[in-house]
Amino acid sequence: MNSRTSSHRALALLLVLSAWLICSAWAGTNVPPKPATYVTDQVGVLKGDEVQLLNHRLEEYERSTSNQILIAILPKIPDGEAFEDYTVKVFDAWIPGQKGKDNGLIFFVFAQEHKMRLQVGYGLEPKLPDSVCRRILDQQATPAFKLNQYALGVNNSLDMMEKALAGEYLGTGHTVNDSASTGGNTLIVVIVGLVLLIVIGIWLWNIGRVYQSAGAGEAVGYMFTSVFQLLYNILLMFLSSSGGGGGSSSGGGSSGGYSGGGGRTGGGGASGSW
Amino acid sequence: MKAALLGLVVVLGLVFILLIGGCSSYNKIVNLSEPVDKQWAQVETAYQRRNDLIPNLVKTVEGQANFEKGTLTEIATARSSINQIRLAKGEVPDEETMKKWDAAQSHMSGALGRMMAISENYPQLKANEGFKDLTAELAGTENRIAVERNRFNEVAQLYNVDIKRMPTALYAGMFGFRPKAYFQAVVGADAPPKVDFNFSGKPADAK
Repeated sequence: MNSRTSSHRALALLLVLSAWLICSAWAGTNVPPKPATYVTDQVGVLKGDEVQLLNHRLEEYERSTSNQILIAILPKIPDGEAFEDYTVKVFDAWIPGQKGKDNGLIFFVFAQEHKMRLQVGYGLEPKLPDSVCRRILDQQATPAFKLNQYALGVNNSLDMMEKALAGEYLGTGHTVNDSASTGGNTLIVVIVGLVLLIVIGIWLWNIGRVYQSAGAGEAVGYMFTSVFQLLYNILLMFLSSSGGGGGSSSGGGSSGGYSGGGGRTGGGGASGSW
Repeated sequence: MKAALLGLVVVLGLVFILLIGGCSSYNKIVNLSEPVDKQWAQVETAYQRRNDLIPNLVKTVEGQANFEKGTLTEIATARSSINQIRLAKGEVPDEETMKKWDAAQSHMSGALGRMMAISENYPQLKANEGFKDLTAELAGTENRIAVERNRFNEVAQLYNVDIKRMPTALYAGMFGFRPKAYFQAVVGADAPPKVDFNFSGKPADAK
């Protein structure tokens, strides 16, 4: 009897837990994970080596200008998501463009809905104002997409974008992927901090022991421990403020491929349909 | 003698801890407050962008023969009511000013929405490349406004929650940090703008 209720309880708990897991997974699926390449084609409208050629083109483009342009061909806008809201969400998750320069852009194509959008990072807005984005979509993408020539439409749009963006930023000569990650710096800080903590800790502990044996009471010992705790907190605070930057965790793979640099968008760009 | 020394050490220690606590709380509040002010500037920029766009839009629309003038008048009044509200530079306004400003801006959003809806009835205007560009700019700007407002509320919330939480709350009042005002959800933002055909349109008193 008793074991039965407890097994019921366990079952209920399991159900709740799995429901919660499914829910959280559900919430996560709305935004596709950050891609490892410049081109994402979930629909399969790009044929043969078109994906590879586009990837190559965009990687070369990033190498020479440092601007990161991504292509996202997705089936449709998930239910319950507003179009422009959703593209900003995906942009925030994929973070194209370098941190501080915000020179990223995502070209969204929602194949089933025949909708598209250029989501432009803050840094590219001056050279790619909404009106220019609108013209790119109207004049380059629309005619080709109407004929199901997706690669052509994307390439033509890229031609016009690159022209508009020419001279925006001087190229760094390497992609975000090539550059050494800032993780090494943080590691040094952690190690130095830990060593310092241990040394100070041992020192304080020793002092505390001396005082204790001298009969000055445990209060002093407590005080030193709290100071120790405080130092530890300060170190944690420092770490949390210095870490978390960068965002390129994949590190020095020279194979090329996309890794977001932490760019941001302010919602600029234009939408179109075909 | 020993006890007095011990007392002194304990008191000094307490003062030290309080001081450090105060410093770290202060720094934390400043760290959280700065993004709110920065984000407020972004919000203002987005709205200013729209304001700068309006004269060109109105001019283009006015050029269209017999364009319905009622919405243009409405835009002009919305514009002057926005201009009447003085905002301190680089500072998040207090709740009341924020409300007034927001109401004036959303009045403008409504007027612009109606004007764009009416423009649908003018094929010649719709085909005009300049007008298409302006429409794209306006749509992008409205989107920017939505994005920046959301972000503002997010960072303001981080700040507001923190200065009410315990260790920080002790020091927040002492250093004079006040909660920041939020944007209210836009009334009827999810509904398309209502189009009212006002054929008795009085001429716009453009200033």
